[in-house]
Amino acid sequence: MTDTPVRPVRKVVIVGRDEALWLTAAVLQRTFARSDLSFTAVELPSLLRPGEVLPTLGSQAGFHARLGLEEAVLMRALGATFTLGQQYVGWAKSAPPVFVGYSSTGVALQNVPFHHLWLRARASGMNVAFEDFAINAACAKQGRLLTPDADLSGFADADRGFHLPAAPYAEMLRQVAVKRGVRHLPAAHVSPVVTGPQMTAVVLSDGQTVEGDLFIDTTGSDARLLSQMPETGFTSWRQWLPFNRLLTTYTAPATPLPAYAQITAFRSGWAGLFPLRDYTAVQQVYTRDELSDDEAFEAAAMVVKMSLHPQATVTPFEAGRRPAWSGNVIGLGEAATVLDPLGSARMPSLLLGLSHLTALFPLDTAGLERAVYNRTVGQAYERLRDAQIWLYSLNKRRDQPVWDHLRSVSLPPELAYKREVFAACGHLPVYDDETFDEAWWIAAGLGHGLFPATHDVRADQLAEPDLIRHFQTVLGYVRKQVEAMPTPDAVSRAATV
Amino acid sequence: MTPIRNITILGGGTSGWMAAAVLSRAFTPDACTIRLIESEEIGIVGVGEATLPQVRDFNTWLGLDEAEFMRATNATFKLGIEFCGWGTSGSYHHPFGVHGQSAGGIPFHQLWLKARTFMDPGSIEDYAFPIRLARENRFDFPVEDPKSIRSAYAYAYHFDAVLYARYLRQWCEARGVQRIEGQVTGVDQNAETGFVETLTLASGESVGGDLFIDCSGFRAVIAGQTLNLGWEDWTPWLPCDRALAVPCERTDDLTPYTRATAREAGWTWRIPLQHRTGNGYVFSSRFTTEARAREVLLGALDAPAQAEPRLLRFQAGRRTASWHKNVIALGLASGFLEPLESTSIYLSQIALTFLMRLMPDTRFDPALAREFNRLIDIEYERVRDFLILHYHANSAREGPLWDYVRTMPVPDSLKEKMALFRHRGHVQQYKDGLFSPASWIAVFMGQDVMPQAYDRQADSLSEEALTGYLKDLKRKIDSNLAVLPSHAEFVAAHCYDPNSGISHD
Repeated sequence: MTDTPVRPVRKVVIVGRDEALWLTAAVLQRTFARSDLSFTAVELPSLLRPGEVLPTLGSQAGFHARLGLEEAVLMRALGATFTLGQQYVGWAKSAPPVFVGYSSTGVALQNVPFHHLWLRARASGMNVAFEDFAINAACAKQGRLLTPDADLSGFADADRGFHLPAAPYAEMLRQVAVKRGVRHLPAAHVSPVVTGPQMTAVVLSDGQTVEGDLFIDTTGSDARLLSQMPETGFTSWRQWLPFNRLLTTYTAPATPLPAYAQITAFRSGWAGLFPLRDYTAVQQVYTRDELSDDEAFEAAAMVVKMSLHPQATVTPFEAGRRPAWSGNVIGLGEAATVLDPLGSARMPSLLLGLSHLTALFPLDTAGLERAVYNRTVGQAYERLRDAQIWLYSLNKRRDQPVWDHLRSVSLPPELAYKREVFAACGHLPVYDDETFDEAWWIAAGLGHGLFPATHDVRADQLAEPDLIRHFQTVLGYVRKQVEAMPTPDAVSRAATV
Repeated sequence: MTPIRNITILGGGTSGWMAAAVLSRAFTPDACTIRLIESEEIGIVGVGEATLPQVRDFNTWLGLDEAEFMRATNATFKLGIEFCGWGTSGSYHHPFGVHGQSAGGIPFHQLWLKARTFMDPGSIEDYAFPIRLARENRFDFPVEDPKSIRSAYAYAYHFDAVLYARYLRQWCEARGVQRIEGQVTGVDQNAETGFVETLTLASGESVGGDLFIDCSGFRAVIAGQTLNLGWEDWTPWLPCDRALAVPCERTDDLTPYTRATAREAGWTWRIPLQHRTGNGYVFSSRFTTEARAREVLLGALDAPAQAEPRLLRFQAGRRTASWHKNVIALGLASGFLEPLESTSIYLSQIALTFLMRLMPDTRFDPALAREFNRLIDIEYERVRDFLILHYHANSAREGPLWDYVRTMPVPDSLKEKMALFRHRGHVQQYKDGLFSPASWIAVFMGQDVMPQAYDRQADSLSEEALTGYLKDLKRKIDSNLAVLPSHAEFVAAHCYDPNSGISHD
């Protein structure tokens, strides 16, 4: 298939920008530092926008630990904040906001999963929201932050994500990578050199040629390197994720500081507020067909009911993906998959690609790992995409064209199946390589009002008083835990001293 | 919605009584009537049975007392399986646990592979606590402290499946399960819907039900004979189709593991119970005769036989749909995979777990059956691939069966797994179904599928650090091992059955 002789991977060239470039460079350098590998980072001009935030999940912490970055130090240096989940406002007209957090909801009784207990009680008239039994939702809504020292054993699984200010985060990672020995070459642009099925070098804007055995593309959605390789055509997900504009700006910091992001739907999209220590990042997602960029800015201010910094940036995007690995080129982040910003899924998609890459880092240029990497990572990206489509499809904004479309579009087969089974009986199928766990999917489904036709029959076997006592125990526990938690401001202040 | 009020189970083998137990644990008798039809005239397949650690979750959920259950079923403990004659090394263990301890997120076998490039680290099995325990015929419960080397394993049981079914029967009857003695002579379906409505017994009695669970074994009286549900034949990959089973007297040392020894046309099992040892020869009728198989089996016994060998016929494969309309096939009626990895009780158990999760009401939403069948398919296929690996990856054995399985085309899913392991010791993890990477690693390594290179993450440890790490680990295992009792002593103290004839010295 290839004329190029197989050789071991020694020289690794990472081309890209911003957090994708530097997280990749730092993690690979750290993981393979003692192996016979050299890492060169070719840095293209930043595309970060003023006030840009990187919302991400708790799994980010594992990468920080691997890099030896202490969480408290990092949070303080960046002015980053913790987040317990997202609150969705206006997903249905005249319905209360819905909180989807990073924690379990309730506790099973006699092996019957909690949400079936809740469904049974709801059927007989109980009127307590599902999220009231979730520790993260309760904490967030009462202005508290769940700290890791909370004793949740046996009562809840809970995690917290992060809101990371993009520019300082990328800069911190750059320093870590360079200090650890990554060679740093800035360039205005690059030209890849491809011979047959392999990339052999990139030529930088200053004329310098950088040769390599393996190339990693973190250039963003243009996929400057990967797109030059065979069989890397882009598959659009436009039919399910139709939004194609992202407006980014910021506003004053929120007081008191919330420990969650707020996502507010409006006729043509949604606007999100992501609290940080020193400012509040604002993202708005919409379609070009419905709003001009100026109209979008005005709409954003109206939706979030705040005056926004006029230095707003609009970035076009199209959700979709391309095969992530072709020949000796591997795309990470948006070079491999572009997601809608909903559900803070963009950063996790970078983490997915990166963690699979460290586990399958190719030994040689034959790239025997390619097929399995492309398959598993491809599935993982699609499951992440499905989580976003799930959230969108659960809206009840009737008579608004985009939202009507999102609610009625025929779903990708895996998601359609998941929805069908859940709607029938409340059991939620979980596939390989899912980023969001069962608890998250169920919280989103029930929160947004997708109620299964039946519930687990075992729930009906429990005596009513036992069930009521169980609900009271859970609520009492949640209340007690929440009261013991500090406010996000207190945590932020403690980190500053 | 109208809940199911009547469930009828056909067949009283292990899976039938397991089904009855699960259902009677979940439903009070006034909510749902559970009947089980069995016939004293039909023997049950149950031979000496080896299980997986998951069976403990089952027993715990029922609330069985471990010592009492072990006494009642003549049970012993099981730490894994010893495979003899499958690879070139003579024998290897597939433990219920991991080799070594990972360091900094790097899997232990990668560290061991790296160590081999500059020193002789010894066998990877020397670093597996459960294997060392097994090889020394010792046993103790794992500890809970995850930092201790003694936490890195699980255990299961060997028990007498006939006694286990009997034990569950008592438990079920005490909870209101109705046992009906008799043989089914007719299955009546609704003319329009095809749903099964009643079973007619030889006595003329008819037994109705909203839901029928077919545990009638290979005969699959409802799922096969009546509904003609399709059968996917896996014989091309798993050509063994017969077993001869025979008990023999127990030996002095009580091994805390099952032994599976490769033979000329299949393999023999050896399952130690308190009162006897269960033995059997799983073979392919394409590659040997029954008479020869009998000879091989009796020649393999390590103590005098206690009975005439009994012949069982089967075919590897599974029903294309285990749940159809209001019938769920369970156990051997739903599929058969030879007991090489002791999966049969597990497969019934997991099917019951899925059924509990997806319990229908009388509308029988087809989405439930679809999801049940999807989950079951994953389970069967994962086990199937793992079993095929044992046969296919044999470099040492001679004979027509072994030549056949070595050269046969295997499923693509397995081919890719083997290629990646050979290349760099990589095992892809999956979410559903049996066999974690640790299991795959044990069998790959044991059967000479040796990685050509290691994962470069293992370079994070210098040669010096790695040498020290391995030495430390071995020392920790040695010192922990020495204080533990023998399996025979442990069984005698914990769950001795006075009628088993176990020695007390």
